[in-house]
Amino acid sequence: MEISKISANIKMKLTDGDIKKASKKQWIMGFFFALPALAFTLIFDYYPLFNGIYHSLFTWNGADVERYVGIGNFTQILQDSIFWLSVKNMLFFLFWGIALMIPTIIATVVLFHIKNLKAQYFYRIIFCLPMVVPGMVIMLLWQFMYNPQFGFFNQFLSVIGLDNFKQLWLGNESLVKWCLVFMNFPWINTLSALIYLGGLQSLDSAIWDAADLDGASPIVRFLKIELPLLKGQIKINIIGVIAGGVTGYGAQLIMTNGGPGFASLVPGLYMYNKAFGNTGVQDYGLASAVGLILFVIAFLITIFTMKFVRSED
Amino acid sequence: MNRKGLMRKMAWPVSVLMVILTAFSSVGCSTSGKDNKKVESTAAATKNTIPSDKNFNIKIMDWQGQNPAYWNAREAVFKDYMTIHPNVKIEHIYQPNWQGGYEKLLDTQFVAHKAPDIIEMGGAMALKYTNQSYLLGLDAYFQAPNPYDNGGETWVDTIRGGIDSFTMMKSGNNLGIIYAVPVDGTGYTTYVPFYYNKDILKKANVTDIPKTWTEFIAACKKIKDAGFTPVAADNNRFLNWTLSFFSAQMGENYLSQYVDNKFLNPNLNREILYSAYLNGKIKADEPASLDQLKILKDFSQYWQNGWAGANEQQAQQLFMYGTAAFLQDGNWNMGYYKNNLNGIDWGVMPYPLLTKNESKYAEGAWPKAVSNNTGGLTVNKDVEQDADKLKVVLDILQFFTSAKENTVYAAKAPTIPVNKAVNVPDEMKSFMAPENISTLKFPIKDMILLSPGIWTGNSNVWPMTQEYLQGKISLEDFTKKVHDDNLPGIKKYAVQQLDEKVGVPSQIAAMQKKVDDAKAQKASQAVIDSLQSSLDSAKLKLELWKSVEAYIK
Repeated sequence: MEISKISANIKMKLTDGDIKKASKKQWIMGFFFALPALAFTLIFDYYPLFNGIYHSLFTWNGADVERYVGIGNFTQILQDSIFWLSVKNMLFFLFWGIALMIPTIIATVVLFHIKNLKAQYFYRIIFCLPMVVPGMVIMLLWQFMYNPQFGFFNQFLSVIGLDNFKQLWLGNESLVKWCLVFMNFPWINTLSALIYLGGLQSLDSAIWDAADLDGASPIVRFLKIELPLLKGQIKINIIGVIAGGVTGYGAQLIMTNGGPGFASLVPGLYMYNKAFGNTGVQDYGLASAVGLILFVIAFLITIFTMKFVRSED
Repeated sequence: MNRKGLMRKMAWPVSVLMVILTAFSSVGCSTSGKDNKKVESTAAATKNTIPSDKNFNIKIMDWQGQNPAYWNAREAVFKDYMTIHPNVKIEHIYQPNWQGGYEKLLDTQFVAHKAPDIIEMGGAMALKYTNQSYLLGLDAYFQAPNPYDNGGETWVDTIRGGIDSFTMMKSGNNLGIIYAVPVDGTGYTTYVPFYYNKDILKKANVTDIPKTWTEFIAACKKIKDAGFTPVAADNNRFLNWTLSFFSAQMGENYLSQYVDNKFLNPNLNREILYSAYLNGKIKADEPASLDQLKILKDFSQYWQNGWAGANEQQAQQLFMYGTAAFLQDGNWNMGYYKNNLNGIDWGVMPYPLLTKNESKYAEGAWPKAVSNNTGGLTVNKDVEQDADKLKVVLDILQFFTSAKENTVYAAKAPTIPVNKAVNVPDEMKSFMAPENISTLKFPIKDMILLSPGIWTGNSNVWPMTQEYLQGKISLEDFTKKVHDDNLPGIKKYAVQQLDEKVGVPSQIAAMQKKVDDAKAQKASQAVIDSLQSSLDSAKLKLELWKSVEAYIK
């Protein structure tokens, strides 16, 4: 019996009421399946968010001291020259965070064009391997490499007879920010690379065949075909870099604690110091206000950036 | 019914469910000590006989796993205890204290009422949890004799420094209580001297161990000229320590210029500085403070290159690799150095004495106590729910601080024994203020310009100090910047202290209730006096705050 006839038979046997009943039941079931996820999202994502917004209007130590101060926390932060210094540092890191997305894109495109499947697999493994090494371990290794007395860089300069070029690295106010940027060398982000690779693999191969017929060079292909077609993926990664760049502070906390002086202080670390910082005083209200300001900054920068990176999807 | 209709119908039960879930989560998140404010019993057990017909599992948490000498010394004491009390099992838990992980764990454990029974805490940490009512007040128990000591003295009197060593602890917290049992002699007796590398000193022709600051700086110069790094410094802890030890030796009665005589009480050091900041008596060019900072700047030329980017572990490495001649560190690391400083001949010298050569405010003497007990082993207030368990917990602490066990512990750790009947091991004497010159009663004690900012949470103070020491800003700009930067935080703190609900008035009310309860329960006079003195101190504190209320606006 043909499939169409079978389905017609089934339809005949089911009344409209049955269908409605079944779909209602399905809807309710679906709703209940989604409910735990929804509940946990509300509790663990939205509740802290709104709680943070609420407490940004208070002096709050997380326990017994809770006093309404209105916009006092925001005024204090915005009048603090150190906060603006940290924003300046953050913009430096953000700029380089975005600029250094390029090596990942190039590496992915090159990887995509490797015809030998075994070689491609090998390089994919090489790309993914750093993902399994904890970030903290990598940071501590770099911290040791930058050690002016025993670290790799100064030892290496000594060995090759360039003692004059030895540096204080993280102890030098002018160098510290560059040291933190260089720390991610060769700046290939595994997760981003996989997103780009997924994007490239989903494209119709006829595009490259057409480019070959037109005699497009690899650079032209990259600039005119691959880069524009990866705009959607670039957009996703840019949002990630902006969010991480504006609010992140892990490397600064572990490597330099924002120093020397304020040379590598970023707003995220400024916020951390207010909440759990080096003074033993906890001002979660002020820290919440910093968090809210960072959210607004990240939001504005994202909108501004998205204006320039338009994609069709 | 279509989907929209069904959605509408489902909306209210879903909303109710969400509200319930959210409410439960928020209750979970906000449960604080407020709910747990049971009035603690002030009737102390006169002799802690622990029940022998019941088994007990006691959890003790500290961060000493990173310090095997300390860990093993404590293990030995716990083992001794379990030998004489076979029905008690002590679970010794190591929780690393790196990047504040210890405190973050405790935050959640206390909220969930799952914290260990006995918890080691530093001063700031213990203060926080006391103010949140998570820790048990020990005043009454300290007034009873320690059953493991036979002298008939109260437990507190067996502690080195007696009740006087707890004044800072009592005056610092909102309830005016003793919340910790000192176990390492830290606080009242200990100070942080310099470990030194004998080989480097010899190679640099430093023949005598420096005793005064002048001799110390001369030695540093010789070491530097000989091509070695004189001092292994870090960008945070070291700065704090070194400045504290200058301040402890300076300006006997200096603070009297700021307040009326009735407020001249070492327990009110902080409030005196705050009030002087607020009424403008402490200015950016505060003379004693300028001296403290100039001495520090002069000293900083002998720290390793790149110290501003170094943390305490890196400073420690520099000394342990035999690169730096001096490292400031405490007695708690001595066991570690004993086991790990192989091939280096080292010693410990007392912190050098400042004289008039350095500053006219230098006294050439030390205070009786450089610091005061502010931390130690604390007791989770939840233990109070089980009277028998509480007896065991207190019994363990008394056993720990008894003369017999303290002798074993102090030798193994090694540390300064907290029990005054126990002789201080010779190797620990460099970690104590020398008795013959410990004559100061009321020195400046704190960093006049810097400390009030740090206490009120100004995290910019240390980075600014680094900038000054590295020559990025002049002394004048630095002091002005710090002064201006500290003021808003101090004002904010003052408002909080004067607040009826969360400030000193509410502390006074809580303390008054404790005194009344103690009287009603016919507690011993010693207990009542102890609580009354905390109350009097709080009243004085409030009076001092009120005297500067006009300057807060």
